[in-house]
Amino acid sequence: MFDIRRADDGRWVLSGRLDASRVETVRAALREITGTCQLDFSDLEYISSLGLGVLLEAQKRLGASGHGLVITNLNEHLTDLFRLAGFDSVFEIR
Amino acid sequence: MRGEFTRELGSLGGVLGLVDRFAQEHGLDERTAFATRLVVEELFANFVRHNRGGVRPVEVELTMAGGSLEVRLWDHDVAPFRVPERAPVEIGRPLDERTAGGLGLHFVRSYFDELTYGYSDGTVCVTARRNLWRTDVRHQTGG
Repeated sequence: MFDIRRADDGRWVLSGRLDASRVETVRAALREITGTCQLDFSDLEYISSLGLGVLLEAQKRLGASGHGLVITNLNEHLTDLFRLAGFDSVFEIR
Repeated sequence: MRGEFTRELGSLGGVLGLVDRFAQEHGLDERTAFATRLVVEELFANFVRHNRGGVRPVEVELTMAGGSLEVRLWDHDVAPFRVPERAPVEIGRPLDERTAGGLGLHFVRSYFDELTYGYSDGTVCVTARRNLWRTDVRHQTGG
């Protein structure tokens, strides 16, 4: 199961497994972000390359206007994955 | 453990479910289970997105043998497809030069130890193998 929702405090919270079949859902959600925004991954257990691609796409769009995504609460597997992809240098990760 | 899945990304829930059952049956540690889910998805998604001509289900098989975990996928009635011998993903590039292209195979080669390709009578078979004694992810710096 996968879910992406906007919390009351403006964070976007992702949960479950973001496999390739969920990418269009995420793309549509991320299009709503127009400024620097936190993506909370504390309940996200899995993401694959196509999901990472959608994050990169959003980061490039936001970066063009001086904004960006802030990725928080990666679990250890996702931390390794982001590092392996070199995404620890293109996203702010907390 | 084996399963057949319709050639569409919407099948990934079932594909990953097969990996979950395999992981539970064989008591895989969570790091190995995560790696296996990712590799199986990346290979399956590559079949769906890039293999030309196939309409039959993709077969996915997971086995344990001799201290290794093997993942094998078959795609039938497709044009020859070769796992590309591409240059390492350039993970050090700045944001405006980064693409996600090649990340899937980068992950497969980093999390698993061997990747082989076969093609015979219209069927592509890709096999990925991981040594079970591994606990790390191989970080490739690329160039």
